[in-house]
Amino acid sequence: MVFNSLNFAVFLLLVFILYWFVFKKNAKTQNILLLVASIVFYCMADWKFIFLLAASGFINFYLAKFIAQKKEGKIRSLFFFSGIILNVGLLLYFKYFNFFIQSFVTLFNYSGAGISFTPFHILLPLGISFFTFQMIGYLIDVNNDEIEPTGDLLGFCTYLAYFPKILSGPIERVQKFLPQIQKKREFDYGMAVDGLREILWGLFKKMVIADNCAEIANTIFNSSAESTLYSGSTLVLGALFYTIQIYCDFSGYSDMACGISKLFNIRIVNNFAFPFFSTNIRDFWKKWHISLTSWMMDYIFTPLSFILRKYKKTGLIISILLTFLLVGLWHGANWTFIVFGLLNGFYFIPQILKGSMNKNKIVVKGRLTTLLKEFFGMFGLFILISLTAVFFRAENIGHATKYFHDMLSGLIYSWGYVQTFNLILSQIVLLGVIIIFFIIEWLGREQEYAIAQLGLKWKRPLRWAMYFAIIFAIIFAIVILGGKEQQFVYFQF
Amino acid sequence: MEKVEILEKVRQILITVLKHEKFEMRDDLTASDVDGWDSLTHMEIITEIETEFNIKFRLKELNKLKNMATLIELIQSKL
Amino acid sequence: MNYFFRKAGIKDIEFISKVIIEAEKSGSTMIGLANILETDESTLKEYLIKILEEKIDGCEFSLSSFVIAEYNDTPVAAFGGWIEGENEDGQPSSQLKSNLIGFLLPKEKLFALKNKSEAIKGIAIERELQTHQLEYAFVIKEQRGNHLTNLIIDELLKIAKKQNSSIKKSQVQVFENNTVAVRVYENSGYKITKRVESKNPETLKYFPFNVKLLMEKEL
Repeated sequence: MVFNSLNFAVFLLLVFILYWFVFKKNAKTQNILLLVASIVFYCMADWKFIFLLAASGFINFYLAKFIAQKKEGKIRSLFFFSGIILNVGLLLYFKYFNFFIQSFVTLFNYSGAGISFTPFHILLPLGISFFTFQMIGYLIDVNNDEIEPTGDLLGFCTYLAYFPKILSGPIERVQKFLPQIQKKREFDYGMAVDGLREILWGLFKKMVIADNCAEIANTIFNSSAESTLYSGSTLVLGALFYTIQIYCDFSGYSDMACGISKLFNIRIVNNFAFPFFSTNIRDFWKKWHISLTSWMMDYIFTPLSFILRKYKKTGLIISILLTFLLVGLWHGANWTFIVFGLLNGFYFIPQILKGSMNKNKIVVKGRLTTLLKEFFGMFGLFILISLTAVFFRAENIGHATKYFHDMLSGLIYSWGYVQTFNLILSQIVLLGVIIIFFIIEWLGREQEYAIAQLGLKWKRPLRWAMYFAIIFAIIFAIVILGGKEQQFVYFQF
Repeated sequence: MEKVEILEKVRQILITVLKHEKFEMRDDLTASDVDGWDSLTHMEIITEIETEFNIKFRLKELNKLKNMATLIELIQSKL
Repeated sequence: MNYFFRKAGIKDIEFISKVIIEAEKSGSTMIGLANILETDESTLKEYLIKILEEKIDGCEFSLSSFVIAEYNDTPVAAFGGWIEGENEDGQPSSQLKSNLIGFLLPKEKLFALKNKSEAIKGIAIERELQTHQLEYAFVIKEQRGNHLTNLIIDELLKIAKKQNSSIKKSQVQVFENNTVAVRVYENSGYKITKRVESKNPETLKYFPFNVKLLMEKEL
């Protein structure tokens, strides 16, 4: 069930009513409902793997307890490493098995051997990248004595299967989530309204902006794989539109996930904090897909850079490259993702050499106008990210390199592919909407999400007019696209 | 180097640093048995030992020192 | 107030070095450690980072001793605690501390310490073996007045009990003029059991005060 579907709306309403009116007795009953609802939700998306999810929950729950019971030593390490291997192995098998074998075969074939490999038909359990990472983090934290393993099996399973985050994250940490559901949740009107507003905003991002950008980006990218239909400038536009698409798509989903969770008075991490207003790459990644980046930094980069601390800046560079290689690889079993990751890693090198890895910069906090320098910084960063986005989008390396080649060789500035006046118009309208969108984001950049504070101080009719305007835009977008619903990009991970 | 020689050199170092001879070089001698041998002077003693025997201790090795016997053993292992 | 408590890890090394320096100031502008090592604040910070990176357990320079309080996902306070004598090598914390300093810092610093040994010893209180020790508390200015230190002490004592349930006492040393800290510890059930006044006039040259109190709590 996608968040922006009628089915889900009905589901959500049902769960909401049951949660606050029927199962409201205590924390336990609330959690039971959430767990059952989450199981139903997962089964509706992919019932075959519900047992895998359950097994993952049980095994990791008990493993953590075993680990904590033993003092440091061989048995404890045995439990710990078994757990890690189990979780990582699961991920490797379902996601990367074919990729690794295919890559080996290709490598082998360079030496002349002519092996062919038919990929195994391995189905990908939904959300596997997200929930295995949550489990791995949990085991590591327990093993490091950072947290106590929980004895609350119900709470733990609820945490694992929690439907707002099961399919596409955020990668929530046990210690932030569990305490919230171990207390009885009281209905908080303000929080629920805030949640609804956040859902509305997420829907807007996804359906009005992301899906429309997708239309354009898909047309350009899909055709560029085989032919060279479009001019260089069009290809540039394609990359830019795709970048905006992916931002609005995933941050829209994250806003919705957060907002939905707020309806149940549970806070989950918001994955985005206006990354495109950063002026350097480190800031960007601190604000883009925050739960993944912080996971990678805590469990990969920090320990790695500590081990390599003898090598100072070189050690840091190696650590960041490896970390971002993994970030890329996490997204999918394709060399394009690895290149995507590595490129972003390389972008860090100037900052590492300058020694400014740890400086925190708030983007012109409080002021409404920005210096020209900051603006060009943001724009430059956007271009850099869009370049890596080409790899993210491309089917394979060949496609990506062809894309760049065509982009650089076509110097004609024309709207290449656009044949009809309507299409030009819709592009201009979309660009206009995007500009307004970024202005709204800029004004709300110190909040949790762009419209968190917008209109709260207005008179009610005016505020409601704003809601209607957004809802209208969403419906308008649905009508325009006429049912060509685009799947959330991050569902494939 | 013979153990006797090592013992004698260490004894001299102790006398130099602690400025007295009120101790016996027995195996189970610990810092708490000797006047003035506290954690500060201990480091001085270690530094002198490193210089005298031309060896370098590792931090983990230092933390494992319990008494004179372990100290002599450690020095021997580094020669 | 929604605080989140956790043990310090390697990503907190820089924060903990700041915690130690601020705690050393004990409400003044003097950093005892910096003075006796004859160095400035930023060099001391570098030394502390090197020391913390060694990850030696069981003394006030142990990363693992510290519990950090987070507010809005940012560390805002920390306090260190360990059981004296209970570490990998069974050494008293003073030995571990001096091994760290002697091993990691330039050789001249040892001599700087030696020259001041009388002044240092004048104010030193020996730590009892098999007792719980608290050292280096710090809360950022914006979070003061919320009893955060007391909350962290609770967490530290919980951890200690888990490590060794037979520990009977927890001790903390504090300069007598730091009345704020004394009150905080009293609020956690610590009582003054000893008062040490340094007879050495040099002590005031290096430390914020020349009278130290030992406070204890039964567990």
